[in-house]
Amino acid sequence: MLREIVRFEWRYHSRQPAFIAASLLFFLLGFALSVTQFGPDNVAVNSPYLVMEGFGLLSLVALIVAGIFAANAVLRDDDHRMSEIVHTTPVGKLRYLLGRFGGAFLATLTTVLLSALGMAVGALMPWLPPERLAAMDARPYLAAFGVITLPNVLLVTVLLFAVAVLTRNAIATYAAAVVLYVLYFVSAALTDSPLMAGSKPGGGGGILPSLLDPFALTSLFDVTRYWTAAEKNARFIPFAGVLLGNRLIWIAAALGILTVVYRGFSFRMRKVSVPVRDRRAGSLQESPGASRPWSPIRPAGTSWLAAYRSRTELEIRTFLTKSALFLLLLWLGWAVSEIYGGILTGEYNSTSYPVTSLVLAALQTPATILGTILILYYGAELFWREQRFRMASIVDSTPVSGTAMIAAKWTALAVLIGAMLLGGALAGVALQVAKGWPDFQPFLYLSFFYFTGAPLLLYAAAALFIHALSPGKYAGMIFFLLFMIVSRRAAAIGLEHDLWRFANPPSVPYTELNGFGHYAAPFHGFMLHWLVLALFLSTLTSALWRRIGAPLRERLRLLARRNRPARALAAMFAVTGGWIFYNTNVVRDYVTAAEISDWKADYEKAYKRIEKLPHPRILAVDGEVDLYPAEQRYRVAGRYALVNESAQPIPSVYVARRREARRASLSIPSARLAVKDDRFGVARFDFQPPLAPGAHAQLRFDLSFDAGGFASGQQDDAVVENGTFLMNLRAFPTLGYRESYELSDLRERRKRGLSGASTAVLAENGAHGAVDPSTDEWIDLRMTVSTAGDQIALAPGRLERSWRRGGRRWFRYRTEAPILNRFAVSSGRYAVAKRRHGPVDIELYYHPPHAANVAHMLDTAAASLDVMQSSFGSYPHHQLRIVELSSYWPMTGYALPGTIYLREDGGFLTDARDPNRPDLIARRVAHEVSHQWFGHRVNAANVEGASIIVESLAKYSELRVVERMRGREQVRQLLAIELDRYLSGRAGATYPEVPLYKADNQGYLFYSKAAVVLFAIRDLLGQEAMERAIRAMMQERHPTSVDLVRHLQAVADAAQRALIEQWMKEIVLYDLRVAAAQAHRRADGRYDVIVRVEAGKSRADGRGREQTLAFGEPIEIAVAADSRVLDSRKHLLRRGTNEIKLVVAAQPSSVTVDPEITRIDRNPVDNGMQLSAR
Amino acid sequence: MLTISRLSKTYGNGVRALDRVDLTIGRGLFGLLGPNGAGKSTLMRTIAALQEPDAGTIVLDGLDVLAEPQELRRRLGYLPQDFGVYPGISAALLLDHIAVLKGIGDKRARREQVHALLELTNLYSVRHKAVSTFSGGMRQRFGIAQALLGAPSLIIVDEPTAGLDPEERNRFHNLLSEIGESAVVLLSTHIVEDVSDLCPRMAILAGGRVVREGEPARLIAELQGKLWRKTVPKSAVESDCASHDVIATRLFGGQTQIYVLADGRPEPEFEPASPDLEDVYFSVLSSLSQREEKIAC
Repeated sequence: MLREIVRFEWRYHSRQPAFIAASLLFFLLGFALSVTQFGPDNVAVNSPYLVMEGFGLLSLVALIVAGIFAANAVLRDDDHRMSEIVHTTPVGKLRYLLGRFGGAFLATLTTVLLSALGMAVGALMPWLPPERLAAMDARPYLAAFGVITLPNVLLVTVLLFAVAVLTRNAIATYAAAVVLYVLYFVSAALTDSPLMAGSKPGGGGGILPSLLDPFALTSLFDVTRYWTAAEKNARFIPFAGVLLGNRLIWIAAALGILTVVYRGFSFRMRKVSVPVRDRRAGSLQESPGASRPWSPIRPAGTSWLAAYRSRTELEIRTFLTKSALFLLLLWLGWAVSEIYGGILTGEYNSTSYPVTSLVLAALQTPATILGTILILYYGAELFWREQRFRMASIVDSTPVSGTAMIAAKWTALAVLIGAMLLGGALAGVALQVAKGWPDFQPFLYLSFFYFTGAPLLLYAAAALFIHALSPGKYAGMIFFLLFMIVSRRAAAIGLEHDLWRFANPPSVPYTELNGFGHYAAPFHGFMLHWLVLALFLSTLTSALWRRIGAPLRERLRLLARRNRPARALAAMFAVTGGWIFYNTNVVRDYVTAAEISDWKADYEKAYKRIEKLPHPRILAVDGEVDLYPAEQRYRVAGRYALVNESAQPIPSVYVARRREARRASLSIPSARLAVKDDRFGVARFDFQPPLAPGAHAQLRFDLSFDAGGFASGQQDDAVVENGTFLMNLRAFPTLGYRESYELSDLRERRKRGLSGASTAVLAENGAHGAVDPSTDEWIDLRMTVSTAGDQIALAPGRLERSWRRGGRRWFRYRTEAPILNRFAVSSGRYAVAKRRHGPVDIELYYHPPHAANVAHMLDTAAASLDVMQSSFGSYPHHQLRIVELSSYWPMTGYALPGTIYLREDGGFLTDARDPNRPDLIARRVAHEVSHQWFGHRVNAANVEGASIIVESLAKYSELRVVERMRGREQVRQLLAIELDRYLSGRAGATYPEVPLYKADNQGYLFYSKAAVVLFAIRDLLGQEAMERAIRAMMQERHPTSVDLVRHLQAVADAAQRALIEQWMKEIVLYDLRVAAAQAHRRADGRYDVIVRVEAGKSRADGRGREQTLAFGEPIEIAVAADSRVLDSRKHLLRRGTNEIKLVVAAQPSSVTVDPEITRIDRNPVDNGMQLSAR
Repeated sequence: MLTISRLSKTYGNGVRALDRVDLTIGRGLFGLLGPNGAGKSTLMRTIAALQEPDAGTIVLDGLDVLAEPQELRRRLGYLPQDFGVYPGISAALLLDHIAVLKGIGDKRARREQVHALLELTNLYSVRHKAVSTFSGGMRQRFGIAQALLGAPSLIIVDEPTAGLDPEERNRFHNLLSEIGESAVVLLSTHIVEDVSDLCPRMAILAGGRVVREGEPARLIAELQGKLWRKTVPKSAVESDCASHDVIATRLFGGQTQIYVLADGRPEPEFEPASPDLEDVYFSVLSSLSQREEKIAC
């Protein structure tokens, strides 16, 4: 009997258009996951890890489908007025519920399973690179199905079914779906889920979010956090720990809910409250009113506005339900947790002031997600309301215009979205009030409604149109979902241009310095364009209004009919599209990502040969830069003094400039322009006669940049209204080959027939071939910069003179010591803070509202100068400038000779008042100051491992400064974060991990691993010896990381040498664990402490395959009473169990092995143990 | 004056719902009779511009309804056969809303008429209650009230008396005939009594075609002297059906009476019966179905 019921349900669901649409959706999603090669490059798309992650992601979408089937399973009796018939049959309560539930569950599960088919079929596509495929194996799919999909689908179907049964209300059912989403997003915001944009390294979530996430994605990421590619490819995720806990909790919850539903369900009709009876029973004419005859009123003519207004009121009235209020409260909670996750717990566990721009940045993504979900659900309910309540024929037979109806429905959605955004803004204000932040910037809050709200309103219009064409409500929801996914991910199928993405214009970053800046205009343009399309679609929707649910053919015929407004809007759409196209593709050059890669590859192929040719060296630069920030244009002119420092005559020189220059004139008086290659902006000058050794020449240049128009996608952020930052490579010509043009992505290189890595291979003996001259070009610089009258312009060196002319300001700078040929010009409306520290002027140029941390930054700069000068030699300049940079730039800090740049959100907004938090500002400032030595005094050879010299030693210095300023404990906290960043970095790395000394562009190595290893080496050798070795290395011209290792080993004994060798040149991992610890009070009042330490060590290859190593190293073990260290000494630990006996003076409370984090240990939590005395 | 000519509609699944329907309907009540599936609702919905025919024309007082549906809607009052209401919206509010949709812009006039109609349909005392909680008869009365909003010159009522008790039905008939004095009222029903009580003119629709049209009295008169009745035991019904042109069987006091159409007394057992509209209806239907099977038995 139950089987028959379930079979009937199954037949019912599987014949719904929504089922077919959902099946298609899931198949396509699964297929897309495979063919777009989702996941890291070195993990097979059909590996256990990625299959499980894919299933987890798709179960987020399954929620929507489950909501549809569950609502349909329960509510269709009411909708189609079958309740009386069904509920009076003798089917038992249990059978009825199980039958209905079983049908919805089977339908959901089937559609979701089609994604597995899609994934498998996708993995068979011939264009997938073979290295992304493992042998076809059913087990990963089965495991993922059992651990993720089945419980998730069960849970969501149970929950939504339960809500549907208990409330008999579709909106309440959808609200429950939103609750599950919010639980997921909150747990993702509380951790640092790799799926969430802006996830911060070094966050770490703990156990609660892993259990809280109903989809177990958070637990999945928690368990596999440190898994390397090899593990991801081979290992099955152990069904234990938090994952098991999560599953148990949620399955228990599901079963509990089912019980509640069974108890709470009754066949008695809920909806039928006592019907209203009129007091004078059922009489039409005996009433006094009947004496009034029917008096027709000739309608004065349809007032569109009146109909629209009355309609809108009615639509909004239906929103004002408990569900909507509940959703709003839920959203407030979500918004607050996003703001907390986004601002108040930042990188390195720091916290920022809740400035409005950061609050809104944290809200934008969740508001867009929630807005889309609201449109998905409420849009469907709203659109199909007349059909659902069988009001359609009454409403349709009135002369009301379709546009009034559609406009009212759209307005109702707009009000809903507006209320949601208002809720988010209020949550933001509340948080600002709670944190005592005084500046609310109401206009910025208003902009939130526009920049975040406007695209949502256009989605709403699109949703209504999709429903108008759809065979039914549920199918329409799925089509809308499909539409959203395609339009957001259009780039993945090659539709890169923003003109392909409906209502998804280039995002508008808000920077404190430059506001919405030059991003606003393209946004307005695109929004206008999509608004016209939305209006066009809405006229079609209105035209279809009276034929909702009619056969598609009839509706299409209706669309083909003459529709003057639609035609006018289509024409307008062509105009706005043409205008955007003109700006992005005619005024600007539009290049796709593939075209850029082609261009780079072609450049390398054409010009790699000139890399080794001798060319003159630049001795001095005499430059003139005119900035027009408001118009985003600039002119760069000047002279390079050249000299032939080689032993042979130089016959010709290649000069490269950015090809985007609007006007460019280049000349060398003693040479002839021989070749001009405009595609790459390269010109060859032949010296007449060839430039003899020691002879001088001069390059004159005058380049103007004025892009005009706007770009699709990324805008040019160099010269902007406030906060210009123009690096020399962007604007000034260079000599010879431009390595920076090379394509770095290995996959893209291979595709274009280029050899593997572009970086030169590090020779084991430390020898390096030709040095890239640009890294060894020390120049004198004179620079005159002019800018807007209210701005300060900066260039390297001493400010010789500044003046005003023609409403503009002019500044002339001159360097006093040679600098590497890397510099930048910047300009902005800055406030200035100065401090004299010895012979050095420390100057801070900052955005006036960002004054909070000015003193701390100056202090840090001074302390950094002290530490660095005493350890690594004197500072060559008389200025140390710190300049605030707008947040357009990808780097949080950047060091150029004598000047360091810090991004506005990289310290200026940090709330540094809590002394227990890591000092982010000190870290940042010290790091960039350190680069004045590592990078600008000593410069590495341009081979693998160069980052060790430049970045790792700066990292080491940074921690030294922090240690000096804030003490050892701060360093320990930072090292703990660096260890985590290293371990998760190697887990997520695309390419095989290299040993530290070969680090190239892997931040998780040259920053994070290096921090731990270099501090461990300091612990091993002692600070004095270590820094002596570094100083010795700095004497070398273009040292490599091999040189660093050699110098370090030179001051070490044999055992230390072996360890340095291992740490720098191999990948070794330790496993230290306090297995047991006991303390006993002795007769003399002191305490015996017995500690059992498990220890081990292994070596990993680049893919993460490990092999056990012998182990015998002295490692520190600390015994402490609360925060007071009683004993901290090194003990020789060997592989396996070590028993250590100690005597301490007071009753100990904890034992920690390797407390200072000198060893790479994947499980640092078990390195300590609390103990109680007996 | 509503003129329908050569109206045809075939649905996607091949069902021919309307087959060259010609009708001319003047002021007053016009009854449209027909069995389920005869095409009544299609015809009604087509006239109400809720769907489009494949061919044919509809003209209301010189207005080409198919070309200018919007103009028709201004003159139309429509009570669908099966309708629902938005939950939780009161009668007065919903009526006011529909009045706005019908184009009654003036607020005072609108309130006036809404109140008048609520009184007319005796819903005034429950005007603040949600329509979704009304009993069947009250809801039907609400449907009538909304159809009368504005000044419709064409009122289409589809199965209006379904769900009304006899008393209510009676009063509803009075209301309709009052309205019929100033508008074309098209009454679709399969309850013959409604038509015979109310309509000076009528048509019978079957298989998508108008098979009989005229004044009920004249149609009845045509059968005068041709209708014969016999009371038979249950077992004999079948054999009689085979040998006579039986248009209907009725149960009367537990016994079966068969009605036969014939110019003269078919058999001595038959007695003459005085025809009513129902007999007209059955005779038309049975003559249609004769080729296929005897529906009456």
